[in-house]
Amino acid sequence: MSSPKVEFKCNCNTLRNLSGLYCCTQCSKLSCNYCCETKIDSYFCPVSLTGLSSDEVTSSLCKSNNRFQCPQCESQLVFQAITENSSQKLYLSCNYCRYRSDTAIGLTFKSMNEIHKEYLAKERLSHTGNDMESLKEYYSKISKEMLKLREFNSGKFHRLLNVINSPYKSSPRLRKKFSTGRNFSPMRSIYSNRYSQNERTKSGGSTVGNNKGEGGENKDDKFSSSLMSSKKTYGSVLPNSKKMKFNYTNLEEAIEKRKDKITNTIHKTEKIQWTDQIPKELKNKFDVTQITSLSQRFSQLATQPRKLSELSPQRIRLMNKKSKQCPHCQHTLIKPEINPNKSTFKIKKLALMIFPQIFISKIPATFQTDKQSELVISFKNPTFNEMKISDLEISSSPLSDLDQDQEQNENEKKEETTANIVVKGKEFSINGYDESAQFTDITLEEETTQETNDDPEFIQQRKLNKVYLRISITPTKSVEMLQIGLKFKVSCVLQSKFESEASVIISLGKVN
Amino acid sequence: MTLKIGQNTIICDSSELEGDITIGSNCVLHPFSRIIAKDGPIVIGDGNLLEANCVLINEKKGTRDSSAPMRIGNYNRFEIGSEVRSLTIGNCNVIGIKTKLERGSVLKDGIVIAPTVNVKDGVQVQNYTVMFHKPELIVNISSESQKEENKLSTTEQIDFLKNMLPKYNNIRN
Repeated sequence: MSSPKVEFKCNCNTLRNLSGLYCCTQCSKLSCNYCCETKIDSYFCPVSLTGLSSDEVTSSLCKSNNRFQCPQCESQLVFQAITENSSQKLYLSCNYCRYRSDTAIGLTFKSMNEIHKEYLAKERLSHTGNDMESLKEYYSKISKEMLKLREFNSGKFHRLLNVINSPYKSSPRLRKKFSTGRNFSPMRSIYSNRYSQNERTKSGGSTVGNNKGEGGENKDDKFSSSLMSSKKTYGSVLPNSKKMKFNYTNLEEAIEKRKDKITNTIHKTEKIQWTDQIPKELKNKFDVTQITSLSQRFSQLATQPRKLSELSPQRIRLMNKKSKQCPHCQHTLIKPEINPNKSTFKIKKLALMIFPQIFISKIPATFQTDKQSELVISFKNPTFNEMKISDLEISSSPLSDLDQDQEQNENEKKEETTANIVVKGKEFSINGYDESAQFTDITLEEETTQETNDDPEFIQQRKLNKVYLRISITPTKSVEMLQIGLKFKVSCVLQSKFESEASVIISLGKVN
Repeated sequence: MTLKIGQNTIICDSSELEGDITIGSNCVLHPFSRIIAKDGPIVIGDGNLLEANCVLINEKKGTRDSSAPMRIGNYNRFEIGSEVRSLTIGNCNVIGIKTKLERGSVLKDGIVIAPTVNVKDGVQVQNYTVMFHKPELIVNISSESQKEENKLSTTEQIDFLKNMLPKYNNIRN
């Protein structure tokens, strides 16, 4: 059972928590993390917190210049010195898992610049070496084959046929002969072709030409005849028609060949009945303590070693700072400071700072069918000025279905309604956030509540910058999750006047 | 209730000591470290370091469990917030921050247990092993030199603390 929650609807029709949404003050639309456009501002080293220019980033292959990562536990490595044969040497060591580069792989060096240059040279080779080119050739071959198949499947061939047949469309007689129709698909014609050939052999040498006059009775025959005739008459126009073998049997063979190739490389998994003790056969095969885990292999993609002894320290990857733009009007929603030491933002347009937060303050323990129960919802104003909420609509069916097609949903609406909801009121205002008001006496607060003339059946109470609403629900069906859709307009004063709409879905719980 | 303390040991005033305890020479007990011998005596060797909030408990696991003495060797370091219930611990070990050693586990020599690792009942940790999370538990066996390294690091720290602790803390006489 999932707990009750409140979710706002983004413009891309996904439901999100209010803290995960941005709000553009220019076009007053909500956008989530996925639909807004991201842009990388700057790169920095996560350990030393130094910013890097774009040239430095490309030259250092997007990795830190003098910081190294432990291959076993991915924590930071420290330089330490030892004296060997009256000369000082450096090695890398991890304080967490006690990894040492000199004992593990025998890696020692004289200075920090030396090892950095070594690593850069190695990584550049892997980026522009022979391995990469051979891989490129291999995949370009495969991509060409795939393109051919895709063209064939997507109907480029079909379009070609249409172009050839176009002069004959003017005459109605020929149109009947060569009309391919909208639902034409090459696979179907091939299948029908083969089907008709089989029939022809059964019937005993009756040619396609005889069927021409009787066309219209069997659709498959019609398609097959058109294709056959086009092949006969216009085969010379189609350059690749003979090379591309459209026989169904050939395709099947080709697919089976591919399957064999795949099955040769990938072994099928077998279930093992697991007992408390590891079987002896497995113990003899592998030493489990000496095999690397997946995350250890992914940390060094070029080599991807299997044994622990083959792991080597890696340079730490750079991190970046991103700014985000509104997908509708291209204004910046959030922009961080370039200095990596600071965690503040230059521009920050979060929905939490503009839209009212909605909480469920009182909820019955269980919902039962045909039994009235009271729900209390609170609105909290985050701005310093007064906020007005108007056109409040509450319905029992979720809003995502209502927006798509009203005509279709009108019929479904009656079936979908899971509860009768009564709210007495559509408009109300919320006081602004006041820091000084929190420290005043309780007696003063009571006086302020007395001044407002609210309907007690609609608004339960007011507290500082909060308003509590009363909603009565009588569920009509037994549902696993009872959902309520809210729709309202928000108008408040930020730097200028701000107005927008919001739709919220509140999921409450199970109805018995 | 007997308390035997060796030479040159420093015990801060705010540390807790309960039951039959014998502590060797050259040890340091930080403030708020606890040694509780409920169901049996605790014997601690020389040159051990117990940091703040670390606990050594000798307590029965259930009613069927028999009482036995808890023996800890020499030159061990118990870091901040570690909880030790195992009865036998060897020499020159480092037990990390907030680790838990359950009753029934056995530690030998030259072991490093990284922070927040839970060593369960019935586990025998071999010589010169390193246990750490990543995020699953990984056990490595390193070379013999680890034992000397651990000993060096603890003795250096104890020498430093012997000068510094009496200046800022009340010490039990």
